[in-house]
Amino acid sequence: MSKTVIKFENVSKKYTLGYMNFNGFRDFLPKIINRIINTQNDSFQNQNDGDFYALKDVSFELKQGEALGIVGPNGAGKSTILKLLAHTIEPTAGKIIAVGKISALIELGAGFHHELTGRENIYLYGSIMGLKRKEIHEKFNSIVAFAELEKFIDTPIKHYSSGMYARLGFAVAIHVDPDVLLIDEVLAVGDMNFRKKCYERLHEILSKGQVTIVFVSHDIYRVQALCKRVIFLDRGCIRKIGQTSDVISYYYNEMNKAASLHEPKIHEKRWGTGEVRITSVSISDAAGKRVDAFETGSSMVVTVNYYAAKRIDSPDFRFIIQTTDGIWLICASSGYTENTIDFIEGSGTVRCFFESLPLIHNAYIVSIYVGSMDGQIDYEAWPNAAQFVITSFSNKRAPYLPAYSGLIQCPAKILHHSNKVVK
Amino acid sequence: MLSHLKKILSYHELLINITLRDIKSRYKQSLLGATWAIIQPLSLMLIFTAVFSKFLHVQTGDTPYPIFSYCSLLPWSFFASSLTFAIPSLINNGNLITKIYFPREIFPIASISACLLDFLVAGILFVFMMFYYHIQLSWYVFFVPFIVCIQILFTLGIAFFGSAVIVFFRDVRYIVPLGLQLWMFVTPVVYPTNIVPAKYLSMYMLNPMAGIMDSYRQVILYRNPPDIKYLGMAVIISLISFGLAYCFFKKVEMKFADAI
Repeated sequence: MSKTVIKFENVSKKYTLGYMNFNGFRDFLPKIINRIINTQNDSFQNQNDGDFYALKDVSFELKQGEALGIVGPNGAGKSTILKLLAHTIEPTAGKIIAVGKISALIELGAGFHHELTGRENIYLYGSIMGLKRKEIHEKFNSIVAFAELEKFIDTPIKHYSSGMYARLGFAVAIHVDPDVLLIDEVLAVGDMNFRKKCYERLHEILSKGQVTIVFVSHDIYRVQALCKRVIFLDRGCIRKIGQTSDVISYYYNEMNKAASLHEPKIHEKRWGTGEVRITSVSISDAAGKRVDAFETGSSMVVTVNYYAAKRIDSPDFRFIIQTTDGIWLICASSGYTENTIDFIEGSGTVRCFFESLPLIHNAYIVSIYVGSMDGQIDYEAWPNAAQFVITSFSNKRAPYLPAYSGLIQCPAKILHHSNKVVK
Repeated sequence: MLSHLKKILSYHELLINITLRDIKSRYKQSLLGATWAIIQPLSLMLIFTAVFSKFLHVQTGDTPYPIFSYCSLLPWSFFASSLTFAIPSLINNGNLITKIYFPREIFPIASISACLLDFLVAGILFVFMMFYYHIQLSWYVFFVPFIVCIQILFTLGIAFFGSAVIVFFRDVRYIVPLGLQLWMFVTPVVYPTNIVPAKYLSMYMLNPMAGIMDSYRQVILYRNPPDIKYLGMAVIISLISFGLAYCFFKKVEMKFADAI
């Protein structure tokens, strides 16, 4: 059985807000003394200030070789967990056990110095990350090759592009061979090929089963691809912890609920000539019931009510399904179906039937565009007009394998024919 | 405390690398480079020679004023620049402190180490000046490394205290240059110790830098042993302040990342 390398026991981290508000000079001295000396934050409480828990009563543990993802909205306390693990801050209450060498891939290149060359920075950053000079020396060529910076290694890094900078930082960090690797949102930099290389490297490290990874990201695809277990953190508390698929779908549902509370804001982002106004957009299932959660392969109906002040000939209604990061996945255009709309005048309704949604487990956005057939005029464009989530698969037989889930699902049949002759 | 020191030793490579970074980055993209380490105390020496020797006629006995003042301006510059770089070293490296753990005293120590190198470079000029002014040396000159160590110990103490406090109170940033200016005038840097009125002398010598500066002159310029009373006082105060400052530093160390 692999051993436990990280253990959080009822960990809380409290910050006292308004720390700097001294009420006059008489308060000043006792406060500074308190502030510097005081380790027991409880004895230093001010009714006016109020306390803020970055983490509250968080417990979990990780075994060697596991990869744990941490997801949650901004300010949930994700980075606080990483800082506690990196031992740069101490918990207010609770106990943290972390075994072995911990390497933090937090904000790449934090230890770089602009005036120094790439070579000098590799030695500097390497030693900050805990490598010995001899080890850096041995790994030097491999680091440079990974960063693809052979030509620029003796150039001061202030002349580097931000991609080169990030590549160098990641290349060093990945060569540290830690027991625990902390990754915070750093892989969003660098071009696609380099990012791919980084993830391949992370998968390679994980496959050896020695290194434990804690991965914080807003990129749910990456969390799904890398981690078998996920924590959903919200306002300092663990909302859910468990299998990636369960936690992620729960996370999407929750985020969707939260987003619907802010719906009025979305309306402001419309543009167009205004000759056509979309009065409402709604999502329903095949039976016409208004829902916003679907299963893969189920049907969805998007209903748009419009009002056109004057007659508009051959308008084009486009229904777009996007990922939450804005990638267009599906675009259904009335102009390119057999049921083209000849003209609109006054109010009316346009429905789009999506049959058998080929989407996976995620949150999606529906955007509506009403324009001319040639695409030159937008009468009304309403990005992010509605949202829905895909919660789970209809096909319960297939186990959910996050690493291989892809972006969309298509019914596929796989046949096998062996050429081996059976004797 | 011993276990802390052992831990720093295990991080010696990091210490060396950060020291090298501090040295390299200071003189990169400057024309004169490390020559600045000499120019700074030299120009101070010239201006003080003009003011104190030519205008005010401060008496320095047989010793010419330029070498008299350079002998103390050199270690004083080391002290002043050490504090100037070491005290803000933690907040200047805030991005590292919030992200990666290693003993935080590495930063002030590295800043002082980098200044020590400047001090040694500027010391070369002092050797030439001694030849120029035909200064005879005695065996007492071997006290110099010991006095330098006392000075470093005292500097470390102030640096640990200052760099820790500045994390919580940025006011320290403005106190440092002001404090150093005032401090220089209550230390026998540009004038000899014997012009201090006798009734203030014991209070004057509570300042360890006074005992240290006086000792440099005694062993290098006057071929005397250091004044045991003054130097002893400096040693005791340096040790106590170093110990207190280091304990304070370690006590608040884990709060740095929260406060930066």
